[in-house]
Amino acid sequence: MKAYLRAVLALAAKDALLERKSFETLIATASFALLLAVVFHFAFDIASAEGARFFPGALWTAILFAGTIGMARSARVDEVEGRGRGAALAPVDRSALFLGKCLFHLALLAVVEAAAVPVFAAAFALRGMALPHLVILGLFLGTWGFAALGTLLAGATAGERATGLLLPVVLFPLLVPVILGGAAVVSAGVTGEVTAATGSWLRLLVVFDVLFTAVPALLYESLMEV
Amino acid sequence: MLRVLVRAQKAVGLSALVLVTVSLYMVFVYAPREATGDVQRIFYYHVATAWNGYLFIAMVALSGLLYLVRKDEAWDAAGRTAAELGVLFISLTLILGSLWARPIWNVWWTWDPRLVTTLILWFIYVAYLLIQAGAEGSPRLKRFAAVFGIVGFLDIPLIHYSVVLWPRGIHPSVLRESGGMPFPMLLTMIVSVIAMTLLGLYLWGRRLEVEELKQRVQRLKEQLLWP
Repeated sequence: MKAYLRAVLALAAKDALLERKSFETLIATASFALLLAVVFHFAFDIASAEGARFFPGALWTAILFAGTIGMARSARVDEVEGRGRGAALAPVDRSALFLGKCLFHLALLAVVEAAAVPVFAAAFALRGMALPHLVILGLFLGTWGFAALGTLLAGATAGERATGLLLPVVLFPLLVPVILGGAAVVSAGVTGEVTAATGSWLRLLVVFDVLFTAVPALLYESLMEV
Repeated sequence: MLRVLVRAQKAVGLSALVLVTVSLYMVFVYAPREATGDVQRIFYYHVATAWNGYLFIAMVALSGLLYLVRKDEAWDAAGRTAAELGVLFISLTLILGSLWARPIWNVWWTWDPRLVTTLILWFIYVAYLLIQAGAEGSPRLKRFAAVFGIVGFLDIPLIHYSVVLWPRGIHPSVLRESGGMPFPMLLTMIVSVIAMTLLGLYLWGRRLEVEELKQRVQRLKEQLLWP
């Protein structure tokens, strides 16, 4: 178990190290997310009174758009440079390859969100958050599920002609619980209006995350075999 | 199981023909006119197509699992053709529901949980067909389609639960609330569901036969070109 976890961490660290050489994926993903804050601000002509209402949905939309591009790119680079095949030689269970990649994407998205949340708060004229820890929890649980399914589908579509086109079309319908749940929890955190539904949303997100981390980890082997 | 479906297609087709005819009679003549008027008769086929939609997307997941385990091309073809029928029946469900909703709810579409779940299902299986469309000759994409079919199927309860939590519901749950329906209506519904299921299975059998023939043609071509 310990050796397995070390392998997962090592695989994630390998990706982080490669990313640190140029920060190419991170910069592209983060700048697109920040750009969307500006686009949404102008497109919806946000007045300060409405800001809190649109903030959660706009933030999640940006995370999903930018994150999809980021994960597609990361998977594409792996494919083109043969890194995936290199990692496949590692003497570890195939599910560790999936979890390592998933952890790397989660970290990547966390950095993007750390930059995007303040910028979105400013663009949507937010006057503070009532329960910041709930916002962070909602972002974390939603991002985890997004990263897990995104890693699976991005890896599977990476070798194909229509990669950039296919990934969002196959990924977004599956992410409906994350989109609705993530936005609902962030919204509760911003306004401070925590209800019984907030608890249900959190439970739903946890179930989604655990299910779509475990199932892809099991199926990854049959997906990636040569 | 798949061979049986192809072999028995004549019997399935004939019984489908008989039962669909019977169900047409029952829906339009035997079933009593309900308080909301004749438009309610759409309900019998709406339920039948919805049931078929779920049946075939379950078959997509099952075929995907069997394809991953047994690596038999027949199961890939089964998943692909089941998804085609799933999309067909979900489309029909959405169209029939919309035709009913216009006079009853006064809108073609509303963001009710069941409608939204069905629409998202439709998107998921259209995406599945998109994956399959590029998968000819690519075992990797075929495996991806199989995985996607399984993951999509597991996601359905979560999607439905999330959309229910999202507070907008007006779809009637005829079977759970309001103490059910009168016997003639129930019987008509059951006959329509069975008739539509037989029709669906017949179409699936025909579609699988086409896939078998395609593979045979492929094999014959290869034999002619490289004897």
